[in-house]
Amino acid sequence: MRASGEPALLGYTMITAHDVVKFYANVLTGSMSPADEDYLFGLLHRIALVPSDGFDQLFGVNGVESAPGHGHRGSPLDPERNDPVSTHPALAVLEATRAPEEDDRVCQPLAYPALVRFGYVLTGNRTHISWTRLFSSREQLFADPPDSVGYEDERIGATAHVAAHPQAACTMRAFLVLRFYEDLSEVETARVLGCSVGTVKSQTFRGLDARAEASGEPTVEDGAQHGLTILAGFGLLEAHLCAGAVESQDS
Amino acid sequence: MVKVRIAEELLYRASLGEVELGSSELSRMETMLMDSDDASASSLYREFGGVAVIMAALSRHELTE
Repeated sequence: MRASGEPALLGYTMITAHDVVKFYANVLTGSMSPADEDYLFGLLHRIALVPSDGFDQLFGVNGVESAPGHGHRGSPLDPERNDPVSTHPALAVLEATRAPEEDDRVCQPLAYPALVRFGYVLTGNRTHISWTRLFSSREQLFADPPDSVGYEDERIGATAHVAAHPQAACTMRAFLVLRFYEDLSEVETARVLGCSVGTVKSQTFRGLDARAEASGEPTVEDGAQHGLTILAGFGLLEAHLCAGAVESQDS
Repeated sequence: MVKVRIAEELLYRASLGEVELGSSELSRMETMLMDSDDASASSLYREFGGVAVIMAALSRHELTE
């Protein structure tokens, strides 16, 4: 985040998607008292769509719900929209990331976790405010795992593998999605899915390897041996993650 | 975006007892967030230390990117 020192230029303050997530994650995990949190988010839930300055409040990151192709459904804070799946901000994000005419930032795989988590913050239903709670139901994970996030050629591997192994793929996808799309740690993923950290490591490894194999890319093992970052399709993986996955296989 | 940081920082300071948010401050905070009102944001920003308000939030949340 870069602050602008001039009051008149407050609007030029810049913040990365990463820092947006970090800020809201801190706030939602206890940096504020519950009363202050309620107050702050209560105000955010009542934002005017077109405020005094005349600009649409839901532009940019905030506006992914009204992206082209998804239809403008008014404020994402609409209290009538309380179905956790159809109103899941991730769905809108997926739609937004498909649209080639969208801002490049939206198409960046790295922006995905930020958009999703930020979407939770803006969802009117209080049960959505803590994004970690959204992962308490396995069904939600499988409702629409983000195979479709990213560019077309990056999705081929996952799609091919899912077609070949629908059941196994579903389980592995949950691990992959949480670990790499949602950027949860192994410990967090284990807690969310109710399994051991060892299971997270082994399932992640299998998922990565199967995905690579299905898409004709080098497998995790091949990549680690050559010290390469592989599976570029995820866009989120770096060599140390591959190394970690291989370690888990050895353990 | 920056308005939420200002609001959060002021609520944080108030929770520590460093500042007192009266009806004038709360009213401006509400206008600032709900209507994205620049005048309210600027006046709160000036009143509570200018860029230090944002820098404090930035530092406390380690928003370094």
